[in-house]
Amino acid sequence: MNILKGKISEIKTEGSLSLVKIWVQNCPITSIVIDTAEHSEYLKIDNPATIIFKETEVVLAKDFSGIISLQNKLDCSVISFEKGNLLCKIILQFQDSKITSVITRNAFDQLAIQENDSVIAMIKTNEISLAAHD
Amino acid sequence: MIVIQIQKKLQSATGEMLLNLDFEIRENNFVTLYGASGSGKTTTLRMLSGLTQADKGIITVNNENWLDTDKKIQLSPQKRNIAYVFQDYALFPNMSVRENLNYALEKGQDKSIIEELLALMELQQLQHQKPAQLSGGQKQRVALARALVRRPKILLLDEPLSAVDQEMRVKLQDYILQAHRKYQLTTILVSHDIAEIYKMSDKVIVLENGIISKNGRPDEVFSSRIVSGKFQFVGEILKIEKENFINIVVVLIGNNIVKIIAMDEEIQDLNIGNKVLIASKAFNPILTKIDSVPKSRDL
Repeated sequence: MNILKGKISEIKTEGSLSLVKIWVQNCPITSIVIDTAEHSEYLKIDNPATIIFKETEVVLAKDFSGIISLQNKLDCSVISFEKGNLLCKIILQFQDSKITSVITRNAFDQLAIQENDSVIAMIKTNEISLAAHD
Repeated sequence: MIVIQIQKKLQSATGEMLLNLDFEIRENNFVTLYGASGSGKTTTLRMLSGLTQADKGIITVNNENWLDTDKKIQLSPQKRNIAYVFQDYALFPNMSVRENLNYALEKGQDKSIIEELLALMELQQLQHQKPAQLSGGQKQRVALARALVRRPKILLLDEPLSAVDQEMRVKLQDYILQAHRKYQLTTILVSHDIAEIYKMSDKVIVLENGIISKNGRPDEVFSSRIVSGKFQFVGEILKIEKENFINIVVVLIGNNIVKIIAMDEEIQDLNIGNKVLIASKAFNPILTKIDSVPKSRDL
């Protein structure tokens, strides 16, 4: 799993759902959770939060233009990769952290990914889990 | 409501330990005592049943005083309406299953309870067999049925399932839950199995060196960190299959086997048999009504 540490800056709640904005250094990340500030102690503005997402949920784009519904876009550079017949694993540098993406071999070939390439890693809002800091 | 406020000095491997307990159990609740060996779990059950005497304190059950050391009240074990089941079945070897149950009847008690328990524990086919002819799981069902003959209000289970294999264990858990609900028992179980505790318990009490370190719902007590995932289960790793840099982790959750994709870093500290918390976003699962299942597909 990918783990990033950030700080909660905004919580919008409707019913039992909350849309939470967390800043990881200068990059905003949003997550939607079935929790509210009323019932969960960690959901408070300015609280530190741990962001968790699965490698297989990280979408990669190169030279991206246009509008896309994916809200979380992380500017990364490619550190290394491992190629399989079906899947590829790409290790990315994002700010001070490393994140991993697993995409299909077909997608990897289409993107013609090389070391040091600039890519955007995108994660859907509903794929991001939050945890209180340990 | 059971109220327990007791103290007892115990000799443990590391020296003298003071078992100092203060907790309440609501009627019809299923509560598990969890903790390392020597933390005082069995002594707690024995003090509740009256088999071991507390140094000091009170036990009240539905406002009835079972123990009050200041007032010198100490109800004998026979007068406490308690059933106690151990890992050791303690059946009479020379008696059949039915005779073992009959032996537990009180003078003048209605014998219909025997038929009822033989049916509930699915022992009718085995009722004329002697314990030596039974498997471990069957013996434990007989032990459980026998403990319930006198219609106790409280059932104490001291690791009754630790001697049977995993499959039998899951079945016995179901028998225990059935009995717990049917007879509206207040049940206290000693267990080390976190998956079992999640399945069975309303509350779990964690004992460490004679004191209660945690007391709450299993998910509150065992989630080492609170992940926002609302789709969470505890399971046991059965197998890890490696495919390149991807691992397929096969996990037993209750009676179901699920497969989970994990990276090498995630499985570094994981071995077969380990207990794991499985969490996912509640947005991912797909719900399908069972009587109209579409062609199954691997997702």
